[in-house]
Amino acid sequence: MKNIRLAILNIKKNIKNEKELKSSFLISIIGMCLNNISFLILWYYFGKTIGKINGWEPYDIFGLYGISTTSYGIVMGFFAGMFKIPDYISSGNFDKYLLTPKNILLKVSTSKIQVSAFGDLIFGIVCFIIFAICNKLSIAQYLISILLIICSGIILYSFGLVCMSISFYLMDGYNISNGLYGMFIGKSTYHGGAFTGVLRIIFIFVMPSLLLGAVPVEIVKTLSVNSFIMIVGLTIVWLIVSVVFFYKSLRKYESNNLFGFGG
Amino acid sequence: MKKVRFASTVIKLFMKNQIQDKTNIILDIFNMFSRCFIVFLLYAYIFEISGGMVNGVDYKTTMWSMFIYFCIMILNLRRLDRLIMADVKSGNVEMFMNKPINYLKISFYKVIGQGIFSFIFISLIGSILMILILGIPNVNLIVFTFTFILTFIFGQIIALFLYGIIGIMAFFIEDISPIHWIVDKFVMVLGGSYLPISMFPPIMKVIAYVSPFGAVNFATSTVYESWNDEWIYRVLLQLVWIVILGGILYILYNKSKKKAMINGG
Repeated sequence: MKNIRLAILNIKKNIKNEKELKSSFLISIIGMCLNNISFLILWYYFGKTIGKINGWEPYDIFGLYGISTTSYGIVMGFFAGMFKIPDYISSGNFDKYLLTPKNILLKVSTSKIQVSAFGDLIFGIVCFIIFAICNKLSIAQYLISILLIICSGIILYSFGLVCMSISFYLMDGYNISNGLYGMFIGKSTYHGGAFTGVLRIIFIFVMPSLLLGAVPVEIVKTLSVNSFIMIVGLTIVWLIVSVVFFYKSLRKYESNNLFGFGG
Repeated sequence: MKKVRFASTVIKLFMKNQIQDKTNIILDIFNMFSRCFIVFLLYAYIFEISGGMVNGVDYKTTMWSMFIYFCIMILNLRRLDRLIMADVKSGNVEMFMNKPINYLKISFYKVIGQGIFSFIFISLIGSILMILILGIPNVNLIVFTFTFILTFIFGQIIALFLYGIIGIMAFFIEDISPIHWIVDKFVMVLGGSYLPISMFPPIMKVIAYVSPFGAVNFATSTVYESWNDEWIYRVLLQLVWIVILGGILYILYNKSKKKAMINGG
């Protein structure tokens, strides 16, 4: 409980810090919303030109972006520090997180926020509302959507943590960690109808990009219980694997004696 | 002559530096392969259900156009603005401005050097694979080769100027990232990244044709049949954008020099 209170305090402090640069804060949020719109236009016109692809209607792309960018906005908005692990390792800044009697993972994760992610969050919510109106979602579908956004966020965080933890094993792991994570996140914004057969299996079970948006949209539309159980199960598995992998990898960390405070 | 030697020395320096870090090249290859693989599979399915043609264009032409776009992405000149912003924020820029060299030119050579090896390597391997899998694109090879090289070079000059302008804005505003995102996405969408140009709605086709964002990637249009009739206009448009953006960059760069604060130490 104490750890969670500390994490909330950390997040509040980070938001206050960022709000000091008001113009930059607002421009980042608006800029990210506009940035996301371009993807939406692209795939929407794609759907309009081609029509239905593997069960995906043009409007489903709003659901894809609604779920994936909302979860991305939550994770990057509040836990962006986790994505800085490779930087902390290579600069030696990780020492300061090890030297405090608090939960290391929670402290590192909440050490930074990404302002632009709030733009993703707003954009995601707007997209989801459009998707909900177009598909006339029922109350049950709304509730499932909320659960799926949480699952999507946990999977994003977990896979991100695995990618970032790889940095503990390498001299300069920044490129590999971020390259792998970029590949994972990049595929989640592709049209859901693009993935069939082996490709679909790979991007669900090996690199779970489809679990961030495409599979949740299909579950909301079809209300498939099996798929819902599968995504909840995979979320739990990824979370456990990532936390265990992080703490196992942490043992590889070697301090470079950089002297510093705070965090 | 001296200038050319200086440029090639800087480019080579950064290229060698990049080659040393093999993980970057491996990641670039893997990224390119996975991107192409997914997009090619998606469009294979789409062309199959559409009877082999979409908007009068066949699968092979569309895939070659998208392949060219992905190759240009590997060159990654769009990192120029971030590079300038990092120099402005860290204060490194004053070190360059105090020397008898043009900071902008150095930055141009640096980004070219950082991306050129991956670009040449992956483009060559990729082209061979494309020829083996899909065959040579249905084009007039003489016109294609000549205009491809021309539009590619002009397009990359426009990209350098465009991202250079955004980078220089770091002297005037706190964070240029939002501008980068927006411009970058315009270049991406209008370049025919995931939605081929042949599938653009009419309004997007016009914007792609007349805007500098579309002009960056005119090389992706060289494989289309209509290219033979319109390449002269496209090349002229690129020249117009080079002059306009070059002029804006020149003015902004001179203004930024006055904005730079030399702190010493």
